[in-house]
Amino acid sequence: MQIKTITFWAIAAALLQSSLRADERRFTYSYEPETHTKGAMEFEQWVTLRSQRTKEVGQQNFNLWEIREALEYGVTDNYTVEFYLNGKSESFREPSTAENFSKFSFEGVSIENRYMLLNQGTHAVGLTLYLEPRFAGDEAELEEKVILGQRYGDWKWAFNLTHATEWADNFHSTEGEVEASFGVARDFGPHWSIGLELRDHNEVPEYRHWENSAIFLGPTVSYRQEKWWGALTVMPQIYGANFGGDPDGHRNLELEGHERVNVRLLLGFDF
Amino acid sequence: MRVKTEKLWVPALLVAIIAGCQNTGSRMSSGSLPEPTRTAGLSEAELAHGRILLANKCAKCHKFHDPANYDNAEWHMWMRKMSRKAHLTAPEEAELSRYLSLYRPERTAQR
Repeated sequence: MQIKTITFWAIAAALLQSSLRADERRFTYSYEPETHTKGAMEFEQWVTLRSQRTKEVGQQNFNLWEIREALEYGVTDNYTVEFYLNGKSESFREPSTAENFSKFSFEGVSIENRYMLLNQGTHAVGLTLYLEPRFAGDEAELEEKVILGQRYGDWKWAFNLTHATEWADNFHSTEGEVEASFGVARDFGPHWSIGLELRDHNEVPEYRHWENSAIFLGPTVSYRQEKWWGALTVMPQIYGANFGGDPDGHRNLELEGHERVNVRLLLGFDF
Repeated sequence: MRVKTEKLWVPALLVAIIAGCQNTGSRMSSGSLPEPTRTAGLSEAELAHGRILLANKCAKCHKFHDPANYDNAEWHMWMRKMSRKAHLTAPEEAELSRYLSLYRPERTAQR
C-alpha cells in the first residue's frame, strides 16, 4: 500500500512540476459547456474534502479527502478527453469501539469525454455531453452528464444533470446516483469571479429505492492567469433527507451517505 | 453485470439529445456574435471561415471583445497572446486577424 501511495504522489508531483497553462472554470462541481480548442493540453489537480458525519452511523469526526490528477487534451475544437488518477484518504472514529480508522486507497483510473454539441458563443445556450467510465479492479463506475450554460456580459451560469452507476464488491452490488447542480458567477475584472453553487445529490442503491437526498449550497471563487487558474467552493449541506428512516439521528440533514460540509479546490495549468 | 430496463432511461435520453442536436449542429446560428461592419474584399468563403474560427476559437470561451475598442498596439498584443492560448496555427491566426480587422475602423485596420 505504501509503495502505491508513494508512486501516486510521485506521478502527481512530476505532472505538477512540468505543468504550464488553462481552460478556466468558474465552478468546481458544475461543469461549463466549453471544451478545449484543438491541440490544447492542461493538467488539473482536484482536492475535495467531505467532512463530518455522525456517531449514529458509526463515523464520528469523519473526513474524506478525494484527490484527482487529470491530464486534459483538446482532440478537436468540440471534443475534449481527460485522463484521471483517483485516490482517497478516509478517516473517522468508530464510537462503539472507540477505534480510529484511517485508510488511503487508490480509486482507479477514469477517462472523461466531453463533446460540445452547441457552442454558447453562437447559440442561445451551450450544450455539452459528458461520459466518464472509471475502473478500479473490483469496482467500476459510469457517469453521464448533460451540461448546459451561457454567459451574459460578466455573468455566467451552468447547469448539470448527472447520472452515475457504480458497481462494487466485485460487481455484485450496484448503486445509482442522480445529481443536479447549478452555478452562477460574476466576473470582477479579468482575473476574479465570485458566485454561488447549488447541488442536489441522491443515492439509489440497486435501483430499488431512493435512499437519500442532500442539498448543498455555498460560495465559489475563482482566479485565473494566462497560464493557470484556480477555483474553490465551500458547500455546507443545507437540507437532507433519508427516505429509509432516520439512521443519522438528524432531522434536516442527511449524514449517512453525505457530509455536513463539502469543499473542493481545483487548480489548472496549461501546457 | 446486471442491466435492468429502468437503468436504460439515461443512455436513451442522451442518445435522443445527441440525435436531436446533430440535425441542427452544423447550422451556425448568429447567436450573440455581431456581424462585421464591412467585408473589405473578403470572399464569401473567407468570411464564412473567419466566422467559424471566431466562434470555435474565441467566442466558445469568452465574450466578444469589440476590436474597434482597441488601438493597434493593444490589438496586436491581444491577438498574439490569445492565438497562443487558443493554439492557432499560423494560417488560422492570419485568417482570423483578417476577419477581425473588419470590425475595426478602415483606417485603423490598414495600419
